[in-house]
Order: sequence, then structure tokens, then C-alpha cells
Amino acid sequence: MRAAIRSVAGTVGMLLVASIVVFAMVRSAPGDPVDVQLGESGGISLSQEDEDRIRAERLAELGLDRSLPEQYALWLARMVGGDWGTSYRTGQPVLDEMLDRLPASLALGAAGFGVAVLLAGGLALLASRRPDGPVDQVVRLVTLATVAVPSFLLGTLALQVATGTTGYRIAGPASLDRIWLPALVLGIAVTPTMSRVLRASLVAERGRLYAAAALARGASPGRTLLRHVLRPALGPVLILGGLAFASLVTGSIITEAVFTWPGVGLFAVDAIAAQDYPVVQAYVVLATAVVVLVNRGVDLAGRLVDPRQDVRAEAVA
Amino acid sequence: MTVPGLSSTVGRRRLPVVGRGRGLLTAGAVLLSIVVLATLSAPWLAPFDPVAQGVGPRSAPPDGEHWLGTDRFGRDTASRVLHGGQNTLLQTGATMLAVIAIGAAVGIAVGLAGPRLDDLGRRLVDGVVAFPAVIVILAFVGLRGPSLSAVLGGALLVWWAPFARLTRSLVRSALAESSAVAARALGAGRAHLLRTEVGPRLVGPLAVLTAVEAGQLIATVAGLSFLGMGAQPPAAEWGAMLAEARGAALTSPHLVLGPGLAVLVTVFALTCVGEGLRDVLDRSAQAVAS
Repeated sequence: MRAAIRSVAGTVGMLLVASIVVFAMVRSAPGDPVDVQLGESGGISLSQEDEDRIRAERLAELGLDRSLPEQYALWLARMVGGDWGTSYRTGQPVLDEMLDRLPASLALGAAGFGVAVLLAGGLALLASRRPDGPVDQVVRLVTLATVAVPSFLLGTLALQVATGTTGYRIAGPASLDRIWLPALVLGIAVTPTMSRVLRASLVAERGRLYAAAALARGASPGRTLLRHVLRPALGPVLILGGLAFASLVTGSIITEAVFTWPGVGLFAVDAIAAQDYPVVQAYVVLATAVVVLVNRGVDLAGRLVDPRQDVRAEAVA
Repeated sequence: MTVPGLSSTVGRRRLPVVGRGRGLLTAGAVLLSIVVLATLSAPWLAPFDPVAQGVGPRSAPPDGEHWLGTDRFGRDTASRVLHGGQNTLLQTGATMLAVIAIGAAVGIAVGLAGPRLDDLGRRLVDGVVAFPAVIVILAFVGLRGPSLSAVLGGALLVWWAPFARLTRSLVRSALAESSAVAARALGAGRAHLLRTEVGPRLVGPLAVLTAVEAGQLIATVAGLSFLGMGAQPPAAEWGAMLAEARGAALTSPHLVLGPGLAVLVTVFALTCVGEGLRDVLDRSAQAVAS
């Protein structure tokens, strides 16, 4: 129970620190919102006096004449309250725009993660059967080379092949007959690191006494693997899964752009090109929150899979 | 707890191990030198002027004369890739030097500090390490407007953290060595400890991390440049070429191929150097220990 409270408090703390960083970035943007609005006054030239007066009024209205801590509190309250501002480009509330596109991004992320788990799991199981054997060496070289392949290159080539051979269509809304290709590219990008950690973890666990004991009792290698080796070996992989998730979030930006997948990442990229600050800010907030929450979730899941972590953590504390 | 014989290849015919250790390091180093030399000697090596338009047909796929094809202005892609590498490698290299310096300084400061400060510093650095660099860079570019210096400036904000984390842990473990404890007991000051006990232990692991992270940085910058966040056309720079290629990726995919392959080879070389160096250092550390 105490661990749970501490975990929640830690998560909230991390989110608060992240929010301060984001706020600092937003405030350091060149030019303030009033400049933008005055610039858009449609060519009506204002006298210096009027401009100063309007500026002071607008600053007060936006709360920008207060101290920084006060401004931060106001900003945080608005963000938590769901008022994320209006997109300069579309004129729609940013939160609605984001929520519209979130399902497509989540679907792509989940599908990509699934591809990565299948590929990495398969490669690691193959490679760990005989460390330094021929299969292990081939897998090692393949993963080493795959790390270096930029996902935009892989994506472009995959798209070229798919449009040529299967009549793959790049335009249109998010759909099942479109998702498999970006999911494949996204999954392949995450596979190398994941399979290497899983392989190392499996090799280490197979060498443990309890694995040897299971074999000695006459358990088949398959049963030993499933019941005695796989579960403890998953601990490090879960921690890595959190990191992999972060690279899924970032990798999905490029994949979404290559395949014009209508998700949050593509929206953010277009927003940056158009200097649509409210959308950029919303994307950073959203991505940060997701990464922090997933890392925490992974932490908890790791304890469920391998309860020894709890004991170890207590021994350290 | 581990049974050494169980999962090793004892009793089996041993294969020559490829993709590991000294061989990998050598392969990576050779490849990296080729890339660096080729970009440095671009003025002599490049078959065409990188900015001259109409040296060939427009948007032509690779052939014998233009072996990476031409872009929509009829410029020779191969020449542009060779010349563009100078900018890319130089600026990335400078950024790497900066993040190593910052990271090492922070790591040494935190590692030498007392236990309280050390704990706080460790948590902060861990927090920065866990955060995806791309999001920070995107936020930075979103505020400053797209340019290569904005991307690298954003990278500067976060990329020092892995170096700080590694340096800190190396400093702590070096200070716990009996030779360091003895030196301290004999009255050695911090500066002396740093020079004789800590310093030598930093070089190898930091070199490994540098190679791996440099590859990551080049890959990240290239990816963001592809999205139009980095250097802007018409500069002959890998990222700018990628940004130009993105718009025409469906009709002329060979435009992505040139700079894309350059990034791939460079990142692959750096990864090989990093991994190979790690294996070599691990093995020599084991040799010392046993």
C-alpha cells in the first residue's frame, strides 16, 4: 500500500516537473501572443499610445502581467481543465483536434509494438538456443545492421514496393488495409534493441540453477523454457518495453509522415512547419504525459511479472 | 547462481565468432574512415558541381553517369551527397564534443559531491535520460523555427544526460576501488584523485558511448530533417536533401536513397565501432580480473 502511494506521488511529481519544463519552453517562444494579435490587426495603423493601451489590456486579459509562478498556476489550471487553446491553422480547439487523431496514433503504436514483440521474441528465442552458435551470429549481424537503417528510408522503400506490387493506397482515412505497412516499418525499427535485450536475458536465465534443476527433474526443454526461464527473463524486457515505447512515440512521427497516417504525430509535424504554437505545445504535453505514465506502468508490471524486484527494492531502501 | 557450463558451447565445435570484438571494431573503423575521407575529398571526388543545375536530365533515376540519379533541378545527387556530408558530419561532430564535455562535467561534479547531492543529481539525470530526445527537439524547433542549428540546439539540451549518467557511475565506482581509498587515506586531494584514479577509467566507456550516441544523433537529425525540421533546401546537406526528397518520395524515391544510404552507412559504421570497442574493452577487463 505504501509502495502504491509512493508510486502515485512519484508519478504526479514527475508530471509536475515536466509541466514546469514545458511551461518554460512555451514562455521562451519568440514574440508574445499579443504581438501576434497586434500584427494581425489588418493593416490599421495604431498610434503608439493606443498600441500600449491595448497591449496592457490584452496582457491583463491573458494574465501575462502577473508574476511567473502565478502565470504557471493559471496555465496549469487551464491545461488540466481541458482548455488547450485554439489551433492557429484550423481555428478548432486543440484538445478536440488531438482527441480526433489520437485513436489512429494509438492503433499504429499498438500494431507496431505487436510486430516488434513477435519479431524480437522469435529472433531472441532462436538466438538464445545456442549462444554464439551460427543462428545467434546471423541474428546478431542482422540486428546490428537493422539498427542503422533510418526508418524514413525503410518506409519510403516499403511504400514503393507495396504500391508497385499490392496496389497499396497512401491516401484516405485510417483503416485496416492501410495500417499493416506503417506498423511493419515501425515494428522493425524497434525490434533490434528489444531482441538483443531479450536474448541476453534468456541466456542469463537459462544458466540459472533453477533452470538446471528443472531439466534434471526431467522437465522437457520446452517446459523449462516456458515455466522457469521465460518469466524471470521478461523483467528486463519490460523495462526496455518502456524505452521502446518512447521510441515508438518518436518513431511514429516519421512513420506517420511517410505514410501520411492521420495521427497526432503528422498533425504535430505540420503544426511545427506552420508555427502553430498551441498545437506544438499540446503535442509536447501529450507525448510527455504518455511517456511518463507508460514508464510508471512498466515499473508496476515488472513487479507483477517478477515479484523479486519488490524484495530487492526493499532491501536497498 | 549461474552454472557456467550449462549454456556455453563446451564440447561443441567452436565457430569463429563474427560480428563481435576486434573484427567488428576494425570493420567499423575502416568504414567510418572511408565515409569521412570521401566527404573531405568531395571537391576532387565528386563528378559534378553540387550546386550546378542541369548537369543531367531532371529527376532521373541512377545510371552510369549519375550513379545516384539527379534531382528535379538536374543536379547530381552523388556529388551533393559527397559535399553535403562535410556540413552534416562537422556540425554533428561539434555537437557531440559539446555534449560529451557537458555530460562529463556534470557527471564528475555529481559523482564527487556528497551522498545527498549525488542522489538528487542521479535522479535528475535519470529523468532526462528517460525522456525521448525527439520530443524535446521538436518542441525546440517548434519555438525557434526549422533549421539545423535549432535541431542541434534542441539535441544539446538533452543529449548530455547519458554521458553524465555514465560518468557519474564510473566516478563512483573508481572512488570505491581500494587504490583510490588508499590514495585518499594518504591525503590525496580531489584533483589528484581525479587525475590518477578516475580519469583513466573514464576514457574507454566514454569512447564506446560516444560512438553509439553519435550514430543515434546522426540518425535522429536525419529523421527530423526528412520532416523538414532541419537544414533547409537548397543547401547541399544530407538533411536538407532529405527534406527536398520527402515531397517527391512517391514519384522519385531515388532522391531519398542517396542521402538515406549515406546516413545508413555512417550510422552502421559508428554502431560497429561502438559495439566492437565495448567487446574489446569487456574482454580486456575480464582478462585483468581473472
